[in-house]
Amino acid sequence: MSPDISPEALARYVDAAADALGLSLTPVQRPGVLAFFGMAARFAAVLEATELHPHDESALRFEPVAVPPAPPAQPAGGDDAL
Amino acid sequence: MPSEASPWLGQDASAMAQAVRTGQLSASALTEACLQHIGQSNPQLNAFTAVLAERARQRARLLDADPLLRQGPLAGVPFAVKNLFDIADLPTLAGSRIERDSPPASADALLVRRLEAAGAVLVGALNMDEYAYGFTTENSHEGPCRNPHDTARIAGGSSGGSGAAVAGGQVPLSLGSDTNGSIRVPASLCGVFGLKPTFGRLPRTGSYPFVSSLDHLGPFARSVRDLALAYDLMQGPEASQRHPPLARDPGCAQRPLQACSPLLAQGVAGLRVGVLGGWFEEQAGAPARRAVQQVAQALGATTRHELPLVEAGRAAAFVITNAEAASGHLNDLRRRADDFEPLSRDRFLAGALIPAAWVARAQRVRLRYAQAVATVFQQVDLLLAPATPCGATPIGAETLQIGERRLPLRPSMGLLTQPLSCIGLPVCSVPVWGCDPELPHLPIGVQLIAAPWREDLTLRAAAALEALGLARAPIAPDFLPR
Repeated sequence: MSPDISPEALARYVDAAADALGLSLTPVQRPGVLAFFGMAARFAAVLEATELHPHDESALRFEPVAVPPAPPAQPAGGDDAL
Repeated sequence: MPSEASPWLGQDASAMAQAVRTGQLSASALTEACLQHIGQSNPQLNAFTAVLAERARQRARLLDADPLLRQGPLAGVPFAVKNLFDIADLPTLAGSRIERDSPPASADALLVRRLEAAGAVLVGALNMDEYAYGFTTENSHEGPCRNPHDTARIAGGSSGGSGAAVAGGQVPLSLGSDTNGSIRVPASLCGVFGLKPTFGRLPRTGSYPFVSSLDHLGPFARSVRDLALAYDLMQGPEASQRHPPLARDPGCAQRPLQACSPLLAQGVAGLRVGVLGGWFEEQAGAPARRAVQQVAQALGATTRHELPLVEAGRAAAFVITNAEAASGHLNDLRRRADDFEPLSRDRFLAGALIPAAWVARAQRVRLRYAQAVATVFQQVDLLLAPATPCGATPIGAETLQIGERRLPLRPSMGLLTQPLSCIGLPVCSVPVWGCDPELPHLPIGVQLIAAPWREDLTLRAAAALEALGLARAPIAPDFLPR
């Protein structure tokens, strides 16, 4: 998406993407969504203007998992309880 | 009727624990005094969303009955947590209406367990911006949290209840989270000390995520020794070899304890201290810049630095936050968007639509920015910047003024914190007073910023400023426990 995308194109993208994702924007919500998406687009333009090399990696790093995780909630009284 | 223990509420956590350990004070009496003060002050402050009176009383009785338990470094100390921390038998609200329908947590968050293992007594859950997406804690479901130093003004956010409860003398210690500034903003506006540790230092197990790529947890306190003590007690890797293994935070670096409390008296002699210019001056009002000047003079700062790529870093934080936060709530945005906080609903909806290419690029820019900033820390040990562009603004205000510029308030209160949490730097916010002649009763925070894993330097500098009397965190006069 171009950094200098027009407001009309942004609005078309928002409506189409919302529809595809099953987000039905109401008339009350839509102006705020367009304003915030426009703000995100301006930040995205700053990101696009930042020079990156093909070997610049993501800050996200995946760590392979050797032991399956426990369920998210544990009973009280684990290692760090009294 | 005031309790005999009430005067102890004016002390810091370390003094309270010492009194409980030596038998001057019972944990039960301290707990009752605390609950009474919360009952009296919370109708005005709205910092607490749940008070755990019976749980706290039971816990205090347990401490009073067991001399071994009473020897803990936080023996009998009341504390409270932002309501995104799991508390057994309560739904974890994360500031929302939607999560009121969630089943109760089956266990306390890991950091709650660590503080209670040191003898502390959990007394409640605290107000916050919904799902931590905000800087004002004007929570439409719970009502706004009010600043103890001026109840017509915001406490900051998203951990507003955590800042207000400490500044209002309700508890000497609280926990919050910081994704883009949510510990440092309320610490600045409420006039208390706040520590955002290095990203990955403290395990987040048992807390409701906002943006897993950026979320940090940390403490608020009225003294630096309390801040360091709580931080030290919460450090350390999660146990991993139990059967069955405990859930672990994949974002936690699982580093061993690096205690800071024993280092506080070292001061800042020999440290290279510099002031952040550029972005951090341009986005700050005159009182905020004045606060930094005072701290710079006190710490002997001699150099001025700029963070390369800082605007790109802030842009990365914004895009990652917007997209990642929304993705976690996509189903609720589809089914019940109008149950979201009206102040953040449209931002969540917009975030759900962000193209993947923007987010992927943001994560690459973030690493590039972190690498560029690392070069600055080859020249300096500690950097100074304002924590917020201005002091606390009136509840309901839509804009803030920086010089001649008027900016939208809710996203702009984090202008000076967001570029630092984006790359996980450890930061201690210290409260400075009297920098705004028009609002002399209001504090403003200064960020003490170090290279990753050097929380010790930020806390040493904070302790030095506290010893000089320049940084201090008094209970707000209208809320002094009686």
